Amino acid sequence: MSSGDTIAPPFFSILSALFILSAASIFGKIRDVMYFLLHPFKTKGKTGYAPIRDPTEDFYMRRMYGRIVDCWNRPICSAPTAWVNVMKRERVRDTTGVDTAHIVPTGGHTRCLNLSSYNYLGFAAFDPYCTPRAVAAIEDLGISNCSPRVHAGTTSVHVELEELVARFLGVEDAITYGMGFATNSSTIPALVSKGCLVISDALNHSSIVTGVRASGAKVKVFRHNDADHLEKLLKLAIAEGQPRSHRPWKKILVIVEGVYSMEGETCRLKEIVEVAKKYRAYTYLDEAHSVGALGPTGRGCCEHWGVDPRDVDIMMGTFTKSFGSCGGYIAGKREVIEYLRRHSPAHLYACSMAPGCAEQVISALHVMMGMDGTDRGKQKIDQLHDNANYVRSRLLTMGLDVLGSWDSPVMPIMTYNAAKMVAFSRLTLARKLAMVIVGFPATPVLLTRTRICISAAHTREDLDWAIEQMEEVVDLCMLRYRTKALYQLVESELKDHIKRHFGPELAKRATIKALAAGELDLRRSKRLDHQLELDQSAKAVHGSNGVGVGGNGHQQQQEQQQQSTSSKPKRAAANSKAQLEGKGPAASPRNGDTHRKPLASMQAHAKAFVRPGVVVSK
Amino acid sequence: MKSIMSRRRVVAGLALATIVPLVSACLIASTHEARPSDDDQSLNLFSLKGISGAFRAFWDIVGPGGKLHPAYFLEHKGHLLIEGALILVIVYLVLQHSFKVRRHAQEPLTEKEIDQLCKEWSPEPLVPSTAGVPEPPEPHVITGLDGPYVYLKGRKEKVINAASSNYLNMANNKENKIESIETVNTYGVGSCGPRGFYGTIDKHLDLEKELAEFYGTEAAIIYSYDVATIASIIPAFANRKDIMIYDEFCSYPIQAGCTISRARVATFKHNDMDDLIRVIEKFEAEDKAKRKPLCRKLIVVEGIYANYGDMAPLKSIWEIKNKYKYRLMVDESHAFGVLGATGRGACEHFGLKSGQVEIIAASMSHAMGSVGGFCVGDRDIVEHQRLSGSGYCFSASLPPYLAVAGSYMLRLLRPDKGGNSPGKELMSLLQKKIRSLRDQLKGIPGLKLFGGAALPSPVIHMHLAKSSGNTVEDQETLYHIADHMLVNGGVLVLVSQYSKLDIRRPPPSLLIYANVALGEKEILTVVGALRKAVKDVIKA
Repeated sequence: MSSGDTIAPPFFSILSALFILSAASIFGKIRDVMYFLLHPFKTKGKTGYAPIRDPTEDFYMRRMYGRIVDCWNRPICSAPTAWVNVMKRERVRDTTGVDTAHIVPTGGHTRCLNLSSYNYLGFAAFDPYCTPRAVAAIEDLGISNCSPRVHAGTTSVHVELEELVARFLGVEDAITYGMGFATNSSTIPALVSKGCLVISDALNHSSIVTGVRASGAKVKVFRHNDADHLEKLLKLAIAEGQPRSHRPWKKILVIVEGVYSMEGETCRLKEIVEVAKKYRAYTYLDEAHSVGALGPTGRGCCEHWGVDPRDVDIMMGTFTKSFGSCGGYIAGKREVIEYLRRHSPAHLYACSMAPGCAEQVISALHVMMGMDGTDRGKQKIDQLHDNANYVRSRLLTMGLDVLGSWDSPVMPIMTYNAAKMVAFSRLTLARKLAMVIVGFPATPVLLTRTRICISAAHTREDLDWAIEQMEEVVDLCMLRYRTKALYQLVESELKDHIKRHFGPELAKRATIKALAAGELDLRRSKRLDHQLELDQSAKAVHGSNGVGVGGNGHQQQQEQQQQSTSSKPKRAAANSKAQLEGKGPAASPRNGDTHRKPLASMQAHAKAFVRPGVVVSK
Repeated sequence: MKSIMSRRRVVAGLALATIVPLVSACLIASTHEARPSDDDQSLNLFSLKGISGAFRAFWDIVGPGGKLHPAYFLEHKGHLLIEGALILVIVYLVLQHSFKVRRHAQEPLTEKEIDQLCKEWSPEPLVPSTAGVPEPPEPHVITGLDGPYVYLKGRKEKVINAASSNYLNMANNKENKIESIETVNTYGVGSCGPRGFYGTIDKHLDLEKELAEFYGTEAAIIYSYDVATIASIIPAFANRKDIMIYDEFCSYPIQAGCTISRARVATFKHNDMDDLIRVIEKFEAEDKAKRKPLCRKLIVVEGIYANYGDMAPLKSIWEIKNKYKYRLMVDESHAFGVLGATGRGACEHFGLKSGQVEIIAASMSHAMGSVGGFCVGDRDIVEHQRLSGSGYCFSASLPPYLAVAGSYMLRLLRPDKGGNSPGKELMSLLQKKIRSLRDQLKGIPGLKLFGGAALPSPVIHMHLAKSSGNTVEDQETLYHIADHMLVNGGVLVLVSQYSKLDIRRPPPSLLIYANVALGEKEILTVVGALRKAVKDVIKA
């Protein structure tokens, strides 16, 4: 069950949306006829050549998209961080009268709050740790390698990056490419071919579709995020074999995404991996939007759901989003990666990733893994989740239909009507909010939406201000649909989410309203849990039996070990500083989060430090 | 389900057809009282008398004059019964029409059978085993740059880099680096979004404008990766109905683009104009025979073929394409910034003006010293890609500093009033280097220079003069030569490697890229090292 299934545009919206669309197309037709009457002998394009676009597409482009062209491709002239400078543009009257889509920058810009860039962790702008290192890489290794990886395109940063990515994700090996789109579109053909079956989620990204097309494999599509449907398809596919010849499939690849970019939903990875494993199909997880953004330490969808990354055969992700660079990776078993190093076209023919970009990813990973000597990475992820959950709850209480999962930084707001969508985009831009709108053909005609992407770079004040601005626009556009089923589903998901990550105690009183009002401050509650754990572990160390909530002794010991590792003076100082500033402690283990076990080395380290009778410092 | 239903219908029909006449016969018979007969006799069927009595009684009813004699029966409304039965049979036969005997194999599988099949199915491993396949050598890891030299991991001395297609040395240009670094400091590294969704940065617009000005076209579009450029452009201009013709030597991105587009694809023999005409006429005849409507037709060639290093005869291709009203697309990746008076590539080299070739695409990762790709052409062609080029729409845009690096190169190439530019000097220097390299490489025994010494192409493919007939073996020999050159001569060259996805893999070759940074001394070293390596390896 996904929130996408529970949304249904209200009857009046359907009517008005269809009315608007037909009106736009009728006026377009009239304009075409007028144009023909005014210029009867003028033909477009060269004679004897078929037109570049087919007539319907051309009509849509000129007469419909042409009217709303200002809502997309808005250029910016600053780094895509929390606030951006959006360049002013003006429509240019096309002298031929055919085209209405011509729009040019006029100079000057407006400073807007950026609710659209995939800058989840705030690495897009100048970063005191990352940027100097990226600059150094450009100085040492040049702007580009001008050579594919197999030739002279492998530099020390590429090798380091691949090792680091594999370590970060907890898999054997990784290979990196210079573009996220090409990562999918060139890896899938290397893995599957004719005689193989790809079972793909209904909402998978275009790059996956392109890759599957290039591979020649057959495709079946399962209902978005529906593991039962996947199982049904898998069973039938294996039993029936290839169409017509009925030979068994060579192999079956199940492709899903970690966070769906237009829905904001996290993939139900646990169920899907279970099903795929049961039927010996291979799984391919595209973590373009989830790596860095999901999971308590940003390790993506696997960490979020508690799935062992080694159970996923191919982990794909991009560096464009959370890491503020460009490129993508494929991670998995060593033999798979070795094979890709020999046969993946993007590895053999494409210019390697620019050294500066590679170094940017390395340094971002350093920050996230705490290898820069601070807990900035942890703070960023906490801030991102906190921001995302706060904004989501605020929007939901406003009565908007917001799709997506908790912790996911992507949240589409349904507008159900193309005209409302366009009005929303223009009105929010006038109020200095940079937001993305998505309509046909990227979504079904009636499911148009606007999309917010939250970043760790946003402060609470930024977000409050944005919501205040949006409140007015929402009223003007009449977007408060208040779909009850959706609200209830999201609330039950919230309870589930909090239960998994913060324990059942907190889940009982978890409501969207409480979260929006700040009564359910997940950061503060984390801090309380943190205190509680500290007290308990202190008691446990003193030999008294653990009292109150909390699990068994073994679990307590683990928690206590975690505490001791995080009690280095530097970390403690950072925490107290954060507390002074009114923010919660950055690093605090989450209660009831059973899949997060400390690393073996950490455990050993902790054992050496924890001695009976020593109260772990706060 | 359907077969069960029809079977039930048949059984019911049959039962009706038999039971109804019998029951009604009995009923009719019972209405006419049987003649009184001896009760004791009729009961005793074990004696002869009894049997004959029973038979007589039976005959009394059935025989002539009896109540159930056919003639009597039919006269007294019995015919209705027979007719009713016949109607029932007809109804039954009509019903039977929908019933087909199904072959057993087409019956749906039961749950149990499906589970069994799922259990039995054994998939191939995700990737084929690499055991037994000779392993290509690990790529050398570059740790630093120094002019035409690079430092490699595990080697103290720097080596000459003849393996990068950094033709104009833009990637290591000091000023260019400074500009890029400034951009990184203000704009960050990545653009964090696709072009449509606030990923368009003013630097992208600047580069697009400069590209369009440089080529004298209406518009330009930039992509963020070289292999994705052409592989996205082709599907934007072709679908199932359309025709794509490309040279058989074209590299993988063109092949992939044609596969993705699902158009009607054909190849023509390398640089063979007669074969091109043959292929075109075949399509023309086919379309004429089937009376197909006008479709989009595209010829794709490369200015300088990446996999061979030679050039396409663009002038004659252009004449052919004009004659048959095809559109022409030229991949100028290796020719851009190298050929032509102002560096516009092979089209300019062959005297084609801007606008005569509909679609020009190129990689930015060779002479431009950046990463990415671009396409120039009419506004129609370019604007169409902004909505239909999947690698443009659905991918994050180029990091701004790489766009700035592209702009820098274009600025160098831009001619001043006298027609001179710093780029022009660089290009003529590069041509000198190419000539010198090709001249000296031509005479090396044991190797064959593809395309000859006179070719102004910086992509130099050296094949084995005497091939063993086995690709793997040839490749091994070439690896040994490259290794020998690195270890003994301090020269980094490379051996071409192709993916199994490449439809037509070219023969293995030693690949040397000419580069403006190579001085006369370095060229001599490269040639000397190669000569020595070939001598040592092929003899051994």
